[in-house]
Amino acid sequence: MSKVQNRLSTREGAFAKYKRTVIGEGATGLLILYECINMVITPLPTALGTLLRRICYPLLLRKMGRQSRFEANCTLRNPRKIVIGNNVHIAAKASLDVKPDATGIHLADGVKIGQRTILNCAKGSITIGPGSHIGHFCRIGAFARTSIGKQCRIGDQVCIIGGGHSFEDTAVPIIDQPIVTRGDVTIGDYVTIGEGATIIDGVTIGDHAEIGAHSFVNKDVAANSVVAGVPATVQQEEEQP
Amino acid sequence: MIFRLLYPFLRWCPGALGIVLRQKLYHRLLGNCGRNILIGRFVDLHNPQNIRIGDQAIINDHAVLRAPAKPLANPAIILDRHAFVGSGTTLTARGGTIHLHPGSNLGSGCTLWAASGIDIGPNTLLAAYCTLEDGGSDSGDGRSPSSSGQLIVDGGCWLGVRARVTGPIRIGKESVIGAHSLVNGDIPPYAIAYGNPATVGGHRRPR
Repeated sequence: MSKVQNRLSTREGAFAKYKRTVIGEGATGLLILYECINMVITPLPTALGTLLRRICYPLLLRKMGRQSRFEANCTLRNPRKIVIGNNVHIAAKASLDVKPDATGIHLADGVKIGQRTILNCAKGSITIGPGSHIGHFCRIGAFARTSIGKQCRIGDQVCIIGGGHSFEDTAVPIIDQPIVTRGDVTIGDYVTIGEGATIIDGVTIGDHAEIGAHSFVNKDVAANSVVAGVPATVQQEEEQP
Repeated sequence: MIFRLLYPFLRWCPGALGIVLRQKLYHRLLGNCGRNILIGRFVDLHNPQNIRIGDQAIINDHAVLRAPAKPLANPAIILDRHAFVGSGTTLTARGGTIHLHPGSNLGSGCTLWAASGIDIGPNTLLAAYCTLEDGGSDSGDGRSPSSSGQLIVDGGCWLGVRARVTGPIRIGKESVIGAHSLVNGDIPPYAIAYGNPATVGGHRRPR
């Protein structure tokens, strides 16, 4: 069984486990507030819901900027470790999940997160720079630092991986072996990532790079270059203007 | 019948209340649903009378489990103990059985489509966006063509992100399939395979 299955499986301390998962080390009072907001305000559709979430979510989040909005049924876990800038738009059913040991999620001004996209911060942090747009059904993970620069355009169903399982030991099932990471994922400014692409841990993508759709990026990508394929290789290099 | 009336509310119910209600009531109202299960919001169970969920299974938000409507001798979808179905994953059993053995872990956004049957072994790990189709023809009345068989992933495997597996093939135990690979033939145990189509590029040597 993986660690998540182990952690969730035993009945003992179910309340403590749930509390730690949804609000981290916060007090029970915060949990009660969290549950009340989640029951009544989170599922509320339409502009009324958006308005009420704009009023109530700052009570849960570390910071929520002006004119930012959450659509209905988003999932927030450990919201005290989430910072949302101004004019951020989080579409319906997106998930911002900070695990108890992680540092947090920081969305700068003007960030857009698509529907059903999951930001899963297992350890370390996820930082998204100003004006970047993340598509629908994406999965952005972090096991170290995952940072996305400003004005990036990330397509639908893109997967950014924070870490993978080691599998050297053949006596232990892979699912039980520790998760290891090759390092931070750093995506520069003005990067375009096509839909369905996968970026694995330890990769640095330079400014103005373009990643083709359905590519698998496992090596650093130089600034201003265009890569595509599985594994992604340089298609052409654009000359700097 | 009570389940049908309560299901839309239970499926939607948010927060800790929703988790507790789904855990207690799905077990009580559905004859083949185990104890201490954790089911997220917006999980669609189509024809739950043909779905068996084992104890302590976990099904994350937005997952879809589709079983046929007609009465069957055996469940069309079986989740054994401690099976984990990730967010947004779709399990569709048009014919045969989708069987997740104990401890198997399906990542988010996976798609499993069975016309003859898909068998995921114990402690198998499927990363996000994997697609498994057993390649049987969808005859619609549940009869499997004689030439097709099950898609079997033996225990302890790890399928990387966006791996695609098609056809009635077998992936041997403790194998690793690289990300974005297309597997359309048998893979031996302890192999490391990748590519489109996937070929064995290395081995994890057993002791």
